[in-house]
Amino acid sequence: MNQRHIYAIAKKEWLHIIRDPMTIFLLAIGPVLMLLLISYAMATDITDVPTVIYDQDQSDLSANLVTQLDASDVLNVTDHVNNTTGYEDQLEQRKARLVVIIEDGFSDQLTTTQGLESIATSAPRFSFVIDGTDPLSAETALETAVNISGQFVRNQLNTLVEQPQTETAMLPEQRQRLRQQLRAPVDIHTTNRFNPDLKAIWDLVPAMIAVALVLPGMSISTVIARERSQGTLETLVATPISKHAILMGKAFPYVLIALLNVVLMYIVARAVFGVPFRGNLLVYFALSGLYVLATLAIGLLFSILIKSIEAALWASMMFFLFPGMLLSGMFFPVDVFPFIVKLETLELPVVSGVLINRGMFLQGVSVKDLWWNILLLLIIAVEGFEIAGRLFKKRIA
Amino acid sequence: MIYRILNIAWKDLLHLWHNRLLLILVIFGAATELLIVGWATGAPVDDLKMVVVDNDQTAISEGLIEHLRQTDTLKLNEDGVDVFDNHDNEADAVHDLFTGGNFIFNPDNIMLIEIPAGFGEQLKTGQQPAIELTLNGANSLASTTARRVAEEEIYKYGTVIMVQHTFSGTESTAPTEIQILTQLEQTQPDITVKYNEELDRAHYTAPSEAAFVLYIIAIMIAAFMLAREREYGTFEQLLVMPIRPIEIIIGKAIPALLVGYANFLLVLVEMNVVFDIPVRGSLVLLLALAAGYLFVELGRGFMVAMVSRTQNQALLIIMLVAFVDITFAGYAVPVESMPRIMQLLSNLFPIRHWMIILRGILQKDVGLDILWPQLLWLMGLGIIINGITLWFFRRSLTRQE
Repeated sequence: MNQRHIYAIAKKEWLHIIRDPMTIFLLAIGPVLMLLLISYAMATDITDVPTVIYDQDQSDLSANLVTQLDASDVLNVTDHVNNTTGYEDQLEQRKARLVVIIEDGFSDQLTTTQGLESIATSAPRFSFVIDGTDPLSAETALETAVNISGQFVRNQLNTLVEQPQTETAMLPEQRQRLRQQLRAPVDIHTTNRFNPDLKAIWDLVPAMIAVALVLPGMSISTVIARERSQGTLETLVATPISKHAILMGKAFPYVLIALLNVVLMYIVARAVFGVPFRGNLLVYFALSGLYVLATLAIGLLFSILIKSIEAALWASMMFFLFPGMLLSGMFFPVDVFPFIVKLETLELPVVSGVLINRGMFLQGVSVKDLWWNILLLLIIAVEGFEIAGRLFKKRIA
Repeated sequence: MIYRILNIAWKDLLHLWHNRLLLILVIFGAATELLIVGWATGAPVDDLKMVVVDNDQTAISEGLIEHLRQTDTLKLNEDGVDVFDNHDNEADAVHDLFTGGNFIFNPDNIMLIEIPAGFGEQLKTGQQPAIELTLNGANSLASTTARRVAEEEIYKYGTVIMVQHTFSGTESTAPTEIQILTQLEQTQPDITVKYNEELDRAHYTAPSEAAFVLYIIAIMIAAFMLAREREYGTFEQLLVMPIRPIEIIIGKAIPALLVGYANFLLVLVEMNVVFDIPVRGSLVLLLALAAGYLFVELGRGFMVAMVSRTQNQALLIIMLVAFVDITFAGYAVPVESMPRIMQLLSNLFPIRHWMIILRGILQKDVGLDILWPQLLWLMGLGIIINGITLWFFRRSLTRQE
């Protein structure tokens, strides 16, 4: 392979890109724009889940519970209804995701000694109805509601048990049992490593960097198809430049653009979103380069395998866009996928990209920890170029 | 007029037919995608690896480990204890435990549980022993799930031990584990989950994916069909033909409508058969609204084509637009949780309304009496978007002269 040849092809491809200002703009700014827009909109933690109250008790105590529920960030009390159809309608119209039903007798149960006996053996007089269509936010909302109301009930009962008039109304062992029931058996302390407040944005931004970097890969998937459709492919092949050199040259400008993207996105992640970076910066850029090469290799492979521009674009869309969002581990952990799907994710460089980015930003991992992903990317990059080169020859002949 | 429209449609259908690979990719690509995504995300978050460091070494602490191990969610990593013991510094140990896994054969540890010395004794006498949970925050969904399950199970186990040991009556009348747990269960508030009773993630991601399928097909086919004409220079020929712009648009919309519809039906069947998500509402209404939605997105596809010169540019623009659309569809984060300004903005994106319609009819069995605001939005957006597209067409017409 001749370096001058690669350089010549790279220059030609560069001219192609640069004479088309719209494309260069989209390629250079696109990923950063994507990172900014999407992280801002998506990295919001689940908050303000619309909550509707059906309060049959209508007491100060129930109003108090409602205030406490509303005070949490996760829930937002939007309305009060006074019959069952009221909240059914709100659920259907999506005005409510969570319904809190406070039954009649709620305050009696929590303020009288007779009530104390009943709460030791049966459910408290409130219940929840939740819209399960979005399981993730439903789980968060439910957990919050259950925790707040549980705490509320426990506090209320604790004061009641300790009151002097309770002493006369209850047997000592009865009272002892209630005390015991009101106290948690174990005191659990939880710490989150790497992301102490579990901020969604810390989680999302590094993953998004990897996902946004597929743009150059998608873009390169049409380069050969374009030469073919414009009839310049024969000319190119007729030159004394080896096939591998043509491919390398074609990939080169995209590598440059992608590396520029990496730098820009790194700055945005640190400066705009305040995500910590705990790894080695040089290693990070080197690994990003490797990741870009792997995506470009696959893009080139599509470009050679698929003859028409539309089909090539469509294939790269199917390969890069949706798996990028859904199978990359950005939202759903790859660890828990069924084995077959895990095998399928082996060919997706974006999975390794997400792991490398998260590892470098949040966990401060070293090359040693990432050996598996580095190996995978190396195989994809080398084999991708290799197979592309071989197929290129065959297809031309 | 109809004759001219059909001619355009026929020409584009021929294009599609000659490019059979594209057709296959379009139709089966989406169906395969749905299968993989639904399958992957529908899987319960199971077998999360935890490391337990037991400083107590009593029957009670071992019982707790055994209890945690029996859940489906958590899986004990016994080697982890050695890793932990080999470090002097706890922070380093945690770092080593939480990094260095690979996702396919050896996933990362998600949680570290430290049981203090004296745990069993304190629990028996009701002194609230402290347990430390450390979570791998780099994998937030998995660690949130692990935390929830661990807290719940530790609580249950602790209650059983505490109640049994502080019971003051005779041995024979002491409550059994099952009795204690049943009572614990009884004192919890009732929870009713509607529309997706199992809180199954596949019931969320599969309909979302179905909505995206229709969306992406409409916008891509429309954009590529037109961008292709522009790239090859045949757009001018179209314009100088005695056909009105609106006829070109409708003619070009027909193949996309056909392909989009075929695909949507395929996906609906697949959802019903594979993922057991039936259409609970009116299928006719759903299909009618799907056609309306397709028209809106086709208009946007044409708009993308009118601002780009080549198909490559169209693709890059669509990538950007699609990511924003998917965001505002409320897929990853509910729109209600977004900043206020974003919530207002989200109304300008047709896919937001389409998502509400699809989910409403599919899962909640609601009709137009509830979905009319979405329908109005879609109609309004459709008129505006297609109006702008027509204006683009006219402008390029006058520019030619």
